[in-house]
Amino acid sequence: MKPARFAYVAPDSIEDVLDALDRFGDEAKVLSGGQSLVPMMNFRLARPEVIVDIGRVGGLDGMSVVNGSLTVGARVIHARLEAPTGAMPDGRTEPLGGVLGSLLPEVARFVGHLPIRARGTFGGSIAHADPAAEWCILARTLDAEMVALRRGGERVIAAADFFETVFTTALEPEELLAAVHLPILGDDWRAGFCEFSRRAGDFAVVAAMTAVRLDPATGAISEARIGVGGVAGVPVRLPAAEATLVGEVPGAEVHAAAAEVAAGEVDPAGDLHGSAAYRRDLVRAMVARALAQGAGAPG
Amino acid sequence: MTEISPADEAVPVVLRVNGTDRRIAAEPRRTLADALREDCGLTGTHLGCEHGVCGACTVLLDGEPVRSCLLFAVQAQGAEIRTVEGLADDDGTLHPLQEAFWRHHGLQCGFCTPGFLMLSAGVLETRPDIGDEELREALSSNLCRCTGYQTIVEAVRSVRDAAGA
Repeated sequence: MKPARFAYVAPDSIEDVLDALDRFGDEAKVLSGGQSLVPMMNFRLARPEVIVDIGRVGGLDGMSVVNGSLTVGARVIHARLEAPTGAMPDGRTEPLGGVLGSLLPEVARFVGHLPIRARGTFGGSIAHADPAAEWCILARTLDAEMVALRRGGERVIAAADFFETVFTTALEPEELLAAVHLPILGDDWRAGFCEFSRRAGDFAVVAAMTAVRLDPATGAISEARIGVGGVAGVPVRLPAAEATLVGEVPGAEVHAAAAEVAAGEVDPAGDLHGSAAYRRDLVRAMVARALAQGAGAPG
Repeated sequence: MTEISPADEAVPVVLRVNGTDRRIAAEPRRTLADALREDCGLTGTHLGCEHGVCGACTVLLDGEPVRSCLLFAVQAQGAEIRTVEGLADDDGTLHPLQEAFWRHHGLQCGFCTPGFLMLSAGVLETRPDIGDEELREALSSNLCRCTGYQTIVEAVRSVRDAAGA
């Protein structure tokens, strides 16, 4: 239960981090909060030759509101998303309001336990890409954009392309996930999140996030997003279930119908935490409850 | 290019523990928990699972409870670290949390106790008016195989209530 030997470098600038990643390539692993990587190293499931610690780099832990997005720096710890603030275009830092401002704390409280939330980072969770991780589900459901830096370049990766399979992302070895853009949902959106785990703080067996946009004139749903974790190697969207919602007015029957389609749309594998049939049942329940929560009704 | 510490060499590390600078030599892979126990002789910090689940190794890092098995000693340089050895006064007077764990039977075998004490100290110092539900949720961070938790919750709640009275 001790990690294998590794060389260690803790640059104090992004440029030096990118140089180190460029030099060491896939021998290197980025260390952010370490709450996912270090357990894997202690189990020796991960044996990086070189650890590039980004804990001393400035400029990676900001949250700012720009062009309808909240940009979350990779090193923002989970605990800060329990009461999110954002630097506004005029430079003031304000509590983040609105639908996203309510959703983030709702999700953050499910991320590990308090000491994990004090060290673990948003970007670390996204780059680790556990298919049941709350932030990965959120990123996929809201179509977040990941900002990847490399020496001399930058690219933006859509969430749909970012998560490839279990613990595997589109990031190249020489790239650093620097920030994530989350769309600030307008006041016509309703979002909910529901998770089932056997003990508080555990990874979800199944978790669901929903976001629906309401037509202000009719109250009917004009756009719907349903994302689920714990049923595949990556967090998945459920387009058939989403489609059943469009044109409908939110309510228990509409939610139940969408949840039924969602349960049929996933193809989970069974493991010791739950059989395939059990996970399918959980998808039905979590989707219905997330929709109800978003609509302001008890699940 | 920033200096690289080779894998097989102990590098000088300065840890500020309970207000005292400790100068040690540690390989990069040395966890803070092992550095505290093996290099600083502070064996009050216990190691249970060594993968961040049990919380026995909880210490305060700049005031926040963290798992010292999920942190390398080299990362903790420059931070204020507090361990269970720093709770009681120099004359042996127990910290109010230690008194309360004793009075409320918040421990039996005692293995998880240092972690629970540091978790509780961090929680009450940063959130002195924490509600009952949140307190239970915070205490769910650590594992205890003896008490059934109720007496631990009662101990910490009594310290919170006494401080707020």
